[in-house]
Amino acid sequence: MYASQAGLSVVSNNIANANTPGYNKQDVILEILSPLDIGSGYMGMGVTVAGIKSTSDRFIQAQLYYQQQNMGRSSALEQSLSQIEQIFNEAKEAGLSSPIANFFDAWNDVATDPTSQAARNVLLQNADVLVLAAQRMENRINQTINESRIGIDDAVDQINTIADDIARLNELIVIAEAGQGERANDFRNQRDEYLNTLSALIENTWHEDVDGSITIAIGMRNLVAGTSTNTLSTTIDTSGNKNLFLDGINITSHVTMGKVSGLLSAGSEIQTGSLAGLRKLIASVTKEINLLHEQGYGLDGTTGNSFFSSLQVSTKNLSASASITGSITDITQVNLDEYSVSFSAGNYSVTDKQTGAVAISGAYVSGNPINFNGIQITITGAVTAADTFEVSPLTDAIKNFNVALSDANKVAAASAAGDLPGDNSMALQIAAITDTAISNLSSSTFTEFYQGLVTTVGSLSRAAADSSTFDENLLAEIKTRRDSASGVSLDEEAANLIRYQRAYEAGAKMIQVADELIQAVLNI
Amino acid sequence: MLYDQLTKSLRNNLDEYAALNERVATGKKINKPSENVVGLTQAMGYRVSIGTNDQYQRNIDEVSSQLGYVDTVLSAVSAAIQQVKSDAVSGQNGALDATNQAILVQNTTQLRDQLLNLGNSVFRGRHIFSGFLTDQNAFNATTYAYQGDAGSIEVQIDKGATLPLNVPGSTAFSYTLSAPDVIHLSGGQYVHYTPGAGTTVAVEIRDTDNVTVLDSFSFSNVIEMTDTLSTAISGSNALRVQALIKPFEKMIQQVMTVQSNVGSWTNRLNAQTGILEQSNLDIKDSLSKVEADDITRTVLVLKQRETMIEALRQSSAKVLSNSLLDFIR
Repeated sequence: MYASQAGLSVVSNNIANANTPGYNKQDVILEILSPLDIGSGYMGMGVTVAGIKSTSDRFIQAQLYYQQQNMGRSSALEQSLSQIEQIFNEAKEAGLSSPIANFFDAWNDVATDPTSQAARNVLLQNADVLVLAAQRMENRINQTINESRIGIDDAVDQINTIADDIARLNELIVIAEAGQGERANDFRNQRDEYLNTLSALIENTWHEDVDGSITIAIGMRNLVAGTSTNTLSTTIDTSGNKNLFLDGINITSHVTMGKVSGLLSAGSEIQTGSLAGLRKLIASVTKEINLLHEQGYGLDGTTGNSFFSSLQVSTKNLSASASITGSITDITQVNLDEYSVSFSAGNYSVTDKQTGAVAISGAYVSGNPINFNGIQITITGAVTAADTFEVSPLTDAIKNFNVALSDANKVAAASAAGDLPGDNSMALQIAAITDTAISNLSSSTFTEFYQGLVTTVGSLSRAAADSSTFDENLLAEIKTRRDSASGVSLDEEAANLIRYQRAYEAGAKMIQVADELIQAVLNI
Repeated sequence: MLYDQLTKSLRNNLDEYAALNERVATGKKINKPSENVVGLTQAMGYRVSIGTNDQYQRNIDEVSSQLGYVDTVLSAVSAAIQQVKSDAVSGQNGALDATNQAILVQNTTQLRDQLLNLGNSVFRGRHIFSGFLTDQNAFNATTYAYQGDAGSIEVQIDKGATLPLNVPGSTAFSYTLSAPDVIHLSGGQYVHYTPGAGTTVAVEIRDTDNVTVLDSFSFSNVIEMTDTLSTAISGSNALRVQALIKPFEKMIQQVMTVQSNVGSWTNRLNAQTGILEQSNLDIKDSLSKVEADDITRTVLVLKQRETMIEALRQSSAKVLSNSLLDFIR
């Protein structure tokens, strides 16, 4: 009867946890008690509860964790990339394609009638629309990158909390299981579920120690070892990417699965792909339009006016004591690449980050200007080999993207002051840029380059969505297998319920019969 | 387990349902880049081409109307020069009676003013014969000198192809003498035409000995020529009138050449319009093949999906509500 009661309480525990994620169905293990030798043979002594077994399959569980890591990465990637995709969604005619086309159409209209104020005003308005569209896109991309950073921070907080929880459970399990062969099923179930959640967040490896506690490592550093934990922390590096630190070591490169890795990849993918591409496109538009426009003459006879605010070099100072200033000295030479400056043994070296080639190098003298590819930088102060500087004409290209002209009469449609007002040859030349292969944009036109960006975003998002669907299906498959082995089936439990109930009733009946027998004896 | 599977298939079906619904709502097969990267890139390219073609068409319309006006003006110019020439022919004999002389003078003066007005024509706020200097008269109202420049306002009508929408007055109202020319007048005198700067032609009338200079003058455009003619007639300068007949003939030819140029440009514009229209039709066709959705089919699939979801819901409701616990009493 005691055994039946134990069976009933296990069934009730199973039913209660039927919907608890990660709960493994438990079974009562019944054993025959050692029979009693009554001289003329052995007489059965009944049943005893040998233990309560949790039906978990370690192999499936390990697969589940692994697939959780894959799934965590691909779903995070898909989410971030599909947001970027919406920014570039040319199918809904969002994006830059039509603002660019309209801008050049307006130049054509100025070319057909260079004296028309209306055409000139429309041009300035279309230019404003282009500026706003580019800035809106950059803002939304930055927002997405920011969201991925916040996502990483949230995930890291969660990971640290889980690490603490697992350490606590480790302690409980070690205490509960110490000295006896019994397993602390419910604690283990809980810990399994934490491991499951952790796997969805970040790539990890773990092993169980003899005392029942587990050690979890991320990137070969311990997150949890027994009852102690290390805290995972994040920093943002010089190129704007998040870095993960565990136990004082940068483990970013070891994290290739899980939500955190998905967010990391998405962030850097967006940063180096879409954002950098968009900036390069806008920088190139600014450069090419200004170069021609500054040679032209406005209706008011002025020349040398920039159409867009001039391109500017932005510098990033990553040194302790030195400082840097930079400017563009010859825009025609600027090839829209980014540079980094490094030092060794009293020499400086400027490296083109896109080609990897050294643009210029020489002996470092504090305050001496360094000229390369139309850019001049001046570094002052003491430098060490650890110091680096970043020089880029692109970083602020969209931030500073602005229509510099406010007076429609200054729109330069003419090529010479003497040919005013009917000369349209400059407007014609500028309108023709749209068909010109731009060498800075790997010899593609503005539109082609932009289409390239959209294609890349589309393909990345497509690939992410595909692998996310694949991983999701695989995960569902593994979960189904886990559930068929370890999940709670209410029907099975109902059957068990009836079985133990009947056994209990039969046991009670036995007591009644024994009672009646004793009654009969007493009544003699 | 059963529950998870059911919710998953319900969700999948609903996702598909929503995607189909969006296709019906937008009428497009591609609603975001990842649905069909190649298709979207093509569609983008097509849309840009259509936009550029439309812009070329707008440019062509503008050039057409400008050139149409230029052509009308040139026809009037041609007619006026014919009249001036016939007046010159009538006035080449010095012996005219006073009445006829007065009529011819009045006639040529009027034609001179008419030519001046034609030369200073304005179309949509632009002086069409001033070259780039569209804000001022092409010809000075008192000296009749050309004060525009040789600028031709080119407009893009196709990728890398341009056509001018104006003819500078220096081409339409003057001719350029390529080499010195000599003619013999009926009276035995010689007339020497020598090219000067730009479209200037210096004229020298020499006596029968071809040495003694009897008269000399110069002109650089047809209005100046007409003015000189009118003065010559009123001054009974028969030699000068005779010397002017050849330049007028040349001028008539020049205007005809310019008109035929304008005509050929107009033809080219018409041809280009045809090409652009055809190209836009082709591109739109390709665009709709890439992008447009077969609504009937999509609605059909949508309906199918709806039925599936309905069936799934009903069966799930049945399956989920079944439990052994219902039978334990």
